[in-house]
Amino acid sequence: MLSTLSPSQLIRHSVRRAIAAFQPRRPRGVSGLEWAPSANFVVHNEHASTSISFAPCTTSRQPARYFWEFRLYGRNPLEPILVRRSDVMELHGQQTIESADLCRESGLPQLFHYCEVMAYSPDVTPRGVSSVLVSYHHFRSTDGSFDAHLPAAYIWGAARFTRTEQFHYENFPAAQCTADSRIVVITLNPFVRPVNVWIRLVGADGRSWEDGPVRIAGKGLHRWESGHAPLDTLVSPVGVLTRSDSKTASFVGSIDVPSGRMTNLEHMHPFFAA
Amino acid sequence: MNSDRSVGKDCNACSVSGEGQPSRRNVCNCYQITYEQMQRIVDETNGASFETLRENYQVGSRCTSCEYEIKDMVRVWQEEHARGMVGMAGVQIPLGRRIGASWRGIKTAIRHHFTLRRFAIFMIRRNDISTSLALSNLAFPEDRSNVNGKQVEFMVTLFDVDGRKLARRTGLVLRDGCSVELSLEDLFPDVRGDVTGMMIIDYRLLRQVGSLRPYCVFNFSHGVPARRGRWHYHDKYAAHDYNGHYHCNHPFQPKQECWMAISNPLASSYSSAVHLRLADGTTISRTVDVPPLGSMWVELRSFFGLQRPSEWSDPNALIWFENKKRLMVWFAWKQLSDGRWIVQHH
Repeated sequence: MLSTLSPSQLIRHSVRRAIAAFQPRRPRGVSGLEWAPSANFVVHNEHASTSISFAPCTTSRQPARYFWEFRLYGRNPLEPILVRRSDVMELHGQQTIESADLCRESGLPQLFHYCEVMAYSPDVTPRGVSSVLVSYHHFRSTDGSFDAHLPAAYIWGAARFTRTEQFHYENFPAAQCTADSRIVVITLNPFVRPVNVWIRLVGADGRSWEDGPVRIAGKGLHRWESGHAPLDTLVSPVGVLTRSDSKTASFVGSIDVPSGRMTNLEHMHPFFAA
Repeated sequence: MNSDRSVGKDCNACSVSGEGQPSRRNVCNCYQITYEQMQRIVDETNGASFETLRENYQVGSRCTSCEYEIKDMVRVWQEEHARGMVGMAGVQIPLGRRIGASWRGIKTAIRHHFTLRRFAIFMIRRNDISTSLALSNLAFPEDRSNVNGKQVEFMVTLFDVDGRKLARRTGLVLRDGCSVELSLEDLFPDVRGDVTGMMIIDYRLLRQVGSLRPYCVFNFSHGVPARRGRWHYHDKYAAHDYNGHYHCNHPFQPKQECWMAISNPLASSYSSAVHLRLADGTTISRTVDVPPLGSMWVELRSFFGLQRPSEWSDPNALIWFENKKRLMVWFAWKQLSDGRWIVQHH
């Protein structure tokens, strides 16, 4: 490997090796990270349903025993209304939960609820910056009202540096906000404390409009639509910003107004500090 | 899976009610700082504010989720201090920490002033699909002005499936506070017909990426031009190997067709075994070869040679790649009934 390095890389490599030689070593395969849960939501009604699937190979390559615990939350942020625990899984295993089963087990007629997946291995610790074994949610609908494929949102752990000052922010570029297209923002509060959220639309010419605050209970979610936004003053494409007094995770999408169909739904990102 | 309605406290990262993890208890999981270490840091700095700790120890600077827990620890320390339980002294940061923070700042400033910021993303134009580039240059809302100045300059280079350079557009500018969506026709008017490949976006002199991460918008008309659909997706991981497997959890959904988009952002070719495991345990393996800067766009059922009727589905199928070298992979589902698409954001 050394023969492929440039002189500057070789110097850096040698310095790092020298520093590492004086540091205490953890056993192979063990990091100081702990597995962390991720946040998402479940939709189930007469038209829409959700498949939630989890495979440990998403952010791990270590052969070990894996488990996941699915938690569905209602009004009480300290007490999930439903908990499902997996049996032991191998690295390339996969398990799926259907929202129809969750509906039946929870006794609720329909679902638009915050949920968490805590996936972990008792045998190995996470490696790299990804301390989350992410689950994926595939939303389907028969009338087009809710179609998407979303990875769970990280609560702890991030691949890139996030910029936060007094408030936490997320942004999304180039959304369409016209008479025929409405913006929808679904925000999750992954913490136990309630949170205030503001939504700002920034037109292509830089003019902006803000709505809020919306208060979201702990382990709760909120759906916001741009129906009352002053569309005539906003030039598309529109930048979407969320501002919150605690870290939240938001998803932005569009509704085609004449047909009521969801044309997209994707997650936002924080401002990157580096 | 087992199911119950048991009560479980859920206030920190490691709480699980099943078979547990090691007893480690991190406050800042990104920097692997335990509760005891954080307590020592608060003692060592005489109860410095969260902002000071973030600057000098980097705690809370990555995912930021530990902000309130650290603030609570500092508040408790200060309350004990006020009651005379802890010795008096001003906030003090050890010299080594201050030097470290300054060095990080200098290193970052130098890197940002002398290197282009490069992002790569898959693009396609064929039949009723057309991708466009979406950018927003929004100042961080609490800054007086945009840290990247009044405008940012960037260039876009287009490569085809074989990694050959098709076109380059330089001197593009995006003003502060503005958003833009640029189609392939806007960017490269001389490139005509069907195109599948990758765009590389290079920014000059960015102090912070902020909101400037490039996205592509996957536009489709599904036969009704007035009812266009659109999906955003963005670039992938930084220039390091992935610690998991590139994978797709549930490719074969009922009445949907799954497509895979791949772009290789590296100057070396990528080759990997790709495995498909069906719910019945059958595993099918294929090889993917992507040339340097090349791309692929394939329908998965054909790629794996599956002879199944169109109504067949296997939502519990799993696809994964063996090679962990940097690659960008996206998945897209086409509704067979009306041609609408759902595109995985990343």
